[in-house]
Amino acid sequence: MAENEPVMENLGRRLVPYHWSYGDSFTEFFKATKERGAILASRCPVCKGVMAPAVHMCGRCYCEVDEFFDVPDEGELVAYTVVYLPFPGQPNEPPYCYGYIHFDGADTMFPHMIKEVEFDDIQMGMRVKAVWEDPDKRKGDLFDIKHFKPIE
Amino acid sequence: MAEAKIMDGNITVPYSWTTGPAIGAFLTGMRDDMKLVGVKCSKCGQVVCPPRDVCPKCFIKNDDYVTVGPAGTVVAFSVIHLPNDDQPAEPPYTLALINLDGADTNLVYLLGDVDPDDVEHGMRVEPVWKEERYGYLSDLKHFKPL
Amino acid sequence: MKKNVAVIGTGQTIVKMRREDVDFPGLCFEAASAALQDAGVTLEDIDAVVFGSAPEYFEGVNAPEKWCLEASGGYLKPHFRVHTGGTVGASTGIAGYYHVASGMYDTVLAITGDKLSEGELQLCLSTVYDPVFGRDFACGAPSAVAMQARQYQAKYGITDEQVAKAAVYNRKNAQNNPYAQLQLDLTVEQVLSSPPISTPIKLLEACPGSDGAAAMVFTSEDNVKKKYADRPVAWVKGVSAMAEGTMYTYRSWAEPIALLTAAQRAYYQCGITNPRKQLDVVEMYNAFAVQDLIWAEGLGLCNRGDGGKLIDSGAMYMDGDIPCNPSGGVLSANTIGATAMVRQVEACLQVMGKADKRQVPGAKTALAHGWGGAIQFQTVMVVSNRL
Repeated sequence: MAENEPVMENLGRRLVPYHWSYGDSFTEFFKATKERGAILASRCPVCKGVMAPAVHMCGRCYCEVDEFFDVPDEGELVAYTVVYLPFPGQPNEPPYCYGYIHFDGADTMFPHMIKEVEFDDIQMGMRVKAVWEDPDKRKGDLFDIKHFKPIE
Repeated sequence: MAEAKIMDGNITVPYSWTTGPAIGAFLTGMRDDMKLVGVKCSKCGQVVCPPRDVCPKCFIKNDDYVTVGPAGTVVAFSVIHLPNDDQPAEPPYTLALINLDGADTNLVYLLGDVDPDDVEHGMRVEPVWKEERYGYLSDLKHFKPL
Repeated sequence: MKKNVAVIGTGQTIVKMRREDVDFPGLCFEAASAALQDAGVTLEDIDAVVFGSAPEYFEGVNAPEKWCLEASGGYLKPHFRVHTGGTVGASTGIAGYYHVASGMYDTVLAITGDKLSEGELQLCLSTVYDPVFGRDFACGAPSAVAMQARQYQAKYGITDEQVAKAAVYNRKNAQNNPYAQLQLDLTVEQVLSSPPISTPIKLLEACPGSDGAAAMVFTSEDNVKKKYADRPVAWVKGVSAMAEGTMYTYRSWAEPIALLTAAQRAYYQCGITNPRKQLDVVEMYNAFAVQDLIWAEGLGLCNRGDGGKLIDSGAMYMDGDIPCNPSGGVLSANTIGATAMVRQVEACLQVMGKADKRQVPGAKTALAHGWGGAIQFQTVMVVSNRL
């Protein structure tokens, strides 16, 4: 601001580092993605809903879940958006597409990037499949899967 | 059970805080005139420094700005030894609650030019200003013993 | 046994993209003073203060209730902080109501606000997403609501034109509201041709980010009878807050189950069996135009899936049979912190007959709605000028 104009604002920056615990369920989930390239799911004994990523507790029924199994790494695209809005600190440069996937047999939504397709060709209900990172480059996080791409 | 995993993350957010009239007057006073500005309540007469736009007790707008200090009295202090990110100085450093002459509230600030072991309650101190000032609280370098 | 509670005064600040003239406490003082003045009370009459504000990241100050304490009238008073994401304004109003309904306090000031201009809004909103499953893709609020829009429009065949109509009528209503930030005169074509921000949401279908605050004074029935019998008040007839999760089984954003449940409960409390007929005006938290339709369904203003037909019928316009958002809604001003309380304030103003140019003639019963979080929290408050 110009000299001798009264002070009206102060600029600052907050830098906050974090260390989130994954907890039991997601530790298991990411072990499966890293070591086996597999999607681990769990089934609630009460509502019978299949949750992928797997969790040890069903939020809907508020009960423990202990049935774990793999589901296919492909499924239906049940929601998506193409993001155009830029903002500082954004993890991806727009435009980019991400969506939610119901893995075959699962009843919860899994978010990830949708690539290898023109934005205008993306449709609700489209079948998509995980594109995996090379096994020796996987770190045991969400990007063990690079993105999802459409399949016939 | 797999070994518990941790995910490291980082959030950096830039801010631009509006000062409002009272803090604006305080920071402008520091930048332009190397003076400390407080505000006096027209109802209860309390002088608040750093100033606020509203008297907490009377709940009315305050805009009667007065100069306080520059000297003040140390009413409490603590020597910080614990290192952390984003500190105003390298530990050990001393923070003090300073009652500036003429003010009814206290200002928290760094003490400098004094050994932490020599700081005492009731000590008289005065501000040391930076050469280059921008209208931020850090225009005040520290307070030193009179 | 809960007591009857009335709103005797409200206050709201002018909302702008950036209020350069005040800091956050200063904004709170404006709203609080306005509400106390409107209620004809002083701070001495206030027994407790409830303060609400949305995610700390917006202003970068943790526990903003302490920063704003004096300015919101909290000095040496019982003080309570509320935070439920975007619906915090409404939850704060509801908490103010609970304080009095419980019989523990007689007169309570509820105050909310935010200064979204002080931080990077979309970056801050992106921290609401799950840190592991979502944050890496997030684009603030737009991408979350975009998913809701996608599922809703696909399931029920809602067209982009129908969504654009919702944007147009809200913006037009705002022209009667001196507090609204945006007062735009738009056509459906202009909305449809505005640039996409997160498909299917377009720029002119989205709310702005704002600086603003709002406040309400709640008091007991005894007090109204003793001291305020001579003036219009807004009785709180039904209140409900409901949460749904984020990662639970069988979730569909096309079905606002938390809102359906919240609305049912609020209606049950006040004997509403046909909201379309028994409500005179509705203020909803429509941060994005598509939500006008989804929330209308959730509130039972039409059958499920008929949001498109509802907007086409004109029923939601000022001259329709269920006027919605006479204030211009959230599309015209969105401070996030105060927004859901402004819906309650506007609903109260309507039934008190104090809504000036945006008054729905003869309004007796009004509903205020709010939502927040990862589209999880829903609040409903029904007010009336009759006990």
